[in-house]
Amino acid sequence: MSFFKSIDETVFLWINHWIGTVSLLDQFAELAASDYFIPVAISLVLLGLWFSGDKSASRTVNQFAVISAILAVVIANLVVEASNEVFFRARPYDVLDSNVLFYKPTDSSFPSNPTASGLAMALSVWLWNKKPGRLLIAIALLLGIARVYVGVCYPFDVLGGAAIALGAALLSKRLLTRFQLVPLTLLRSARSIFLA
Amino acid sequence: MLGALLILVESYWFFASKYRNISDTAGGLDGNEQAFLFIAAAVAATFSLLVVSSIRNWSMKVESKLTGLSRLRNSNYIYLLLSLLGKK
Repeated sequence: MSFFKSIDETVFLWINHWIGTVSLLDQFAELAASDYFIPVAISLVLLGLWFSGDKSASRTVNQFAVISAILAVVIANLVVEASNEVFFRARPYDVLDSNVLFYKPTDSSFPSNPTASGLAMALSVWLWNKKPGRLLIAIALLLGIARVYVGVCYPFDVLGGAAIALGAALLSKRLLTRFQLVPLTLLRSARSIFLA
Repeated sequence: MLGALLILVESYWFFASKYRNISDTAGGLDGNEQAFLFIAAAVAATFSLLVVSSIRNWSMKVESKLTGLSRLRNSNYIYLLLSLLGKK
């Protein structure tokens, strides 16, 4: 266990020590780690995806992807909440002599909640539609890496968030495929008022 | 193109006008508030778009066998809603 902790801290310090080297990189990392920038960007892509698709069939797949992403983010958040109830890991700035470019969150460092939420949405979309999914995965990973860079998460926190996201995305797809009647009823209702 | 430009300008304004990296315990938004505000804004934006595009394309009133969103290819949204209400 201490071996993994040591690797985690070493990688964290290596990434984090670049703060102050390139001012533009600091500003970009601060923006990417923000609670607003990437989560809103991903949500905007989901909104666009709902209305995209030339044919009704391709649009239905995209709309399933959006519903799946919403369900996955709910599942991922529930898992993170449950994990925070039973497990607490102090933030890097509380333990190590590191740089911080962000406000100091007080909840558990592990797992990374923004990574879990962002990647849960991204992976869900990828499971239904690869092209926008790849773009979203890249954006969500950027959020995770930026959180390490700005000094509020360890790399293993991000990996933990990613593992939760993967589980949530797979479960979400399975649930939607198994209980298709619920999303299909939702889509039928939206279609009846020309919104799907 | 205009839509993408608007998003970029608004994002710049949002982050440049004020320091935004504030904890939810110190006056920032928490995740639930943010999700609610995003949904409210998305609904408002979608309906504004539908109203504006309906006014702009007021003459588009073609009946077709298409369903759902596809009907907006040759009819405007307000006309479709009114004809839906007329059928009931």
